[in-house]
Amino acid sequence: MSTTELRIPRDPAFVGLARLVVAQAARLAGVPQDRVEDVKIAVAEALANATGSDRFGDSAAPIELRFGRTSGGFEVVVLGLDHPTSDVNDTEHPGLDLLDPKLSFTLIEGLTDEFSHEPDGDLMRLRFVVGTS
Amino acid sequence: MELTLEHRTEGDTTVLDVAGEVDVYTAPKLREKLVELVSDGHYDIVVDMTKVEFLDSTGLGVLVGGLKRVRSHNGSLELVCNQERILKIFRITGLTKVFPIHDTLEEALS
Repeated sequence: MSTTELRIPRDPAFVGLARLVVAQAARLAGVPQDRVEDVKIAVAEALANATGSDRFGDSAAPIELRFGRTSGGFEVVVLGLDHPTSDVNDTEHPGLDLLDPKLSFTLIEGLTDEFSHEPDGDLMRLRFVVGTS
Repeated sequence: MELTLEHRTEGDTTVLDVAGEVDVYTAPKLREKLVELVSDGHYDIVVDMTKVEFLDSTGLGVLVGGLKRVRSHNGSLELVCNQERILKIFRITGLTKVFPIHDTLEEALS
């Protein structure tokens, strides 16, 4: 796998940047355009939990994305994610009406060809693959 | 990554035109707009999403929140959306059963 790595601050403002970069990498890897849209949503869903957390500020660890073409398709691994909670009453971010955070997983699973997530220390890593044909 | 919001009145209905990307960064702006509209007494709202370029679950959450708010005033919130990449998200999450979704604004207003 020819891997590209991207580290972004744990800040919602950078989710769009990550989407654009990963989407372009998916296009270069030969992912069809309609599936590139799926990749963008999957990236956004993976990052939404992390950037909606209370770990703001310079001391917060960045989120890392690793992506590239593999034999199975276009693979994206996201590290440094918080575990989604079932608490949708986000009093720290009253600007959002939150659905169940696990809905993000439902979307990623519905849009990609392979999806998995696993603990990574105190955090979580997430992986998904989208076919290139 | 910009989100623009404009609203206007069509008869008894308020049309909210949404253009751009709705994600974790821009969704609060949409939420504020919906809260403002309901606070100002607009309880029958059509959200025109034909110019939405991106929508994820944070956007869905805002729309659900808006629906709850208007329903608490016996109002309605309906959507206009004809883009398959956006409709797919509603289908996967089952929200096509929650929101009336129309192909055109004319259909939504009729």
